[in-house]
Amino acid sequence: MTNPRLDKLSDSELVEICNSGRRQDAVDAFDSLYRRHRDYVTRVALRFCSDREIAADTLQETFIYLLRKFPPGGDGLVLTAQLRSLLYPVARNLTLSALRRRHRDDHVTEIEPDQLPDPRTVDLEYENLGKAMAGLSASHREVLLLRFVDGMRIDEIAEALEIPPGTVKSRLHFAVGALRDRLGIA
Amino acid sequence: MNPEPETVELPRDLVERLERLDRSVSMLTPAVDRQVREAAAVHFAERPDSARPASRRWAVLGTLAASLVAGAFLVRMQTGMEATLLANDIDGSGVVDILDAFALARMDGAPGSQAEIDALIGDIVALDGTLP
Repeated sequence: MTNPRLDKLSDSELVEICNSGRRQDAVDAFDSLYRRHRDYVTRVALRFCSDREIAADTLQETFIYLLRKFPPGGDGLVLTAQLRSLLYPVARNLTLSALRRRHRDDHVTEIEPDQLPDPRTVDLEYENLGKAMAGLSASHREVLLLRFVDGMRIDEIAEALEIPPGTVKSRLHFAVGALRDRLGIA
Repeated sequence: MNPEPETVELPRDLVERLERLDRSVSMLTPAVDRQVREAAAVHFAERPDSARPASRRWAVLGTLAASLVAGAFLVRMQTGMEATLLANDIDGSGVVDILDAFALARMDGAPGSQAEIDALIGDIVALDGTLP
């Protein structure tokens, strides 16, 4: 069903086919985008919660959101940054909303990202690093992962988190310092 | 006193450990895979189809079988068309499709002017090899 030749195309080119390609080409292009970024969106969800059911729902809803950007129905999409900087806030907000709904159902007061438990307190391949990351605030952990694991630029992180670039710089500066301290790196 | 974050770096081995840590949590999502693809098929259903109707293909074949002269003529046309198409086969895949337009656009200092790309798009076949 999938078209492996599409895997050679950039995200921008696949988006262009989704914007204006013919039926089967658009379906195949969207499928390529999905397969390319599926694991990333799942990992973003699992950064905020350990519930795999919520992560699967987030994955589905994130790509349905993206799908609705394309005609008919949507106005089309123009990528000005990497696609991940668009997918990240959607996946993040969907995950947090699902967590809030679950906590409300459990009669627990609403939570903020900083109050989220770190999902990686068990089953860590790198226990020390995992503990060091868990010891950071959620906002510091988030910018570290976006910068060094996801490879986003400062402006892309700012756009994804809807905060000023200066705030990203500040968080990143303190997050790197805190991680170095916890790991005993000079 | 603003820190310069583009210069804030972590040791490469630490970044690699962070990447592995992040990827250590994964899951298979076959049900979601299927649902997303089905949603895409529904969403794009109103777009023009790229497939030529099967009955038309059989009609072409019937015509070829009925008349040797007409058949030879059609084969010559087909050969000429293939030569034209292969001339535009930028990525060497054996078929000219929208991927060739992207390949032409990507060529560095190439004859990939917008006019040439537009002309190529006019000759393009769909990704499944059918003519528009």
